[in-house]
Amino acid sequence: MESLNSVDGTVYGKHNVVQMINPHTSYFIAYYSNDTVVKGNNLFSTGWDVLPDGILKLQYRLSTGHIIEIPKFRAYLSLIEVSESVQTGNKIFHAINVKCLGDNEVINYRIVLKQDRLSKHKIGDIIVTKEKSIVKSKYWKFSS
Amino acid sequence: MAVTITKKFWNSTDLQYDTISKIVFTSPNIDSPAAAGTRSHILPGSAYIGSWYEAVDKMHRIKNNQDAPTGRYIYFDEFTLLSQFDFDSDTYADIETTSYQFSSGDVMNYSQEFYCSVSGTSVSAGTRVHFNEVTGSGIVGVGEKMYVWKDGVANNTYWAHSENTIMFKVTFGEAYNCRLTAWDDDTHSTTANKILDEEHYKVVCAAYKAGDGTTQLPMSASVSGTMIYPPGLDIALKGNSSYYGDFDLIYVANGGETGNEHGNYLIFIPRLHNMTDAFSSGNYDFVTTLHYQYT
Repeated sequence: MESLNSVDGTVYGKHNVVQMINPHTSYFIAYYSNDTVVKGNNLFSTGWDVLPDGILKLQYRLSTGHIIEIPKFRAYLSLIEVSESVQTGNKIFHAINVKCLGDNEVINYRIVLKQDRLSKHKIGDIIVTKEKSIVKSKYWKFSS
Repeated sequence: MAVTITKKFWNSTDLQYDTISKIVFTSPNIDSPAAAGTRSHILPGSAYIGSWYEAVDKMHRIKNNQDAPTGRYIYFDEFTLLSQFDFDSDTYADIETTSYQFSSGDVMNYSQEFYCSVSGTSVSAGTRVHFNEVTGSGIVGVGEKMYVWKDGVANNTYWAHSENTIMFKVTFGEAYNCRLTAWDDDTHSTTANKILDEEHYKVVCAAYKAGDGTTQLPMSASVSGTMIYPPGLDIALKGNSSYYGDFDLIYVANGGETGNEHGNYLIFIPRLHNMTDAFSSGNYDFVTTLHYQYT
């Protein structure tokens, strides 16, 4: 082994493995002041578009068991972030981006949905950032 | 709301749009079309490389080689502003000298919301283009680019068009922050791949609105606001460090409320750049992806 140098030690091939939540069993849960609770479907067809306004509390339940509660804001827009392969059509679910409308700003709660050996973020991690612009969508839902 | 996006390419043999299964870069020394999976081996530098689009049953050669785009790229020309342009008050723009022949009704686009209709009476005087209608508000600075779509010009005039590109079309829902890029094929998270890392993978691309008809060609230049996002000219796709976007693609059903609204399309043609003898052979799998968000 004395002659081993950095060139000899180069490893070719794949060594990274991705882990992702199960999109079929991850969903949102919205609570309302009249004790109504609305559970979302999954991450393919979330059910967010038919969710009523007047949300009292917003949670997300991931297939891994994580339950993430979003703080109270004026309105929410829940966006599923995916990348879809042109070649295979396979989807990787990267995150749920919950846009939250405050008094003077929009905050993004990014819930991480996948992890690999190179990424510093793990499933269930939450990254909070301030948004530079507002996403124009008719599916913003107001809180109570 | 879920979103559905189709991926098609024009099959000139059967005169129809086929669903794409794979993008293939391989030798052009086999007949087109060929059975799916019929891929010849290539050695970098030993021959030019062709682009093929593969459907479930057939693969079709789209480009014979991987030359850089030439001439007009993708249903437009681009112009660089020599002086700032004020959408609130200016009626003409000074642009770099061009051989492009402006016509009445051409639309010069800065963005989806900012565009100008070229005047019929004073089309081009030197480097000055006059407009009879300006839409938008605000000032665009010197050096910024504006783009024009040309009506009634044959596809083969252009390097890339709706019948040699891969075409994304939203058929249901709304896709936000769309980004065309490329990742490693396992995680869609890294660009630890020689082809991506050294920026050998490039595309010409455009996101635009067009009539929801059978031809799926870009809309007439006389219709304002055809451009969704400034076209990309031979840009490298490399994860989040080099990509085309971000823009929104929205489904429009039955011409929308007015009957005259248009569908949203993204077209692109891929190529491998600078694959010379110096490129060491190996297995460099990567995937082209559309990265987007939906509710």
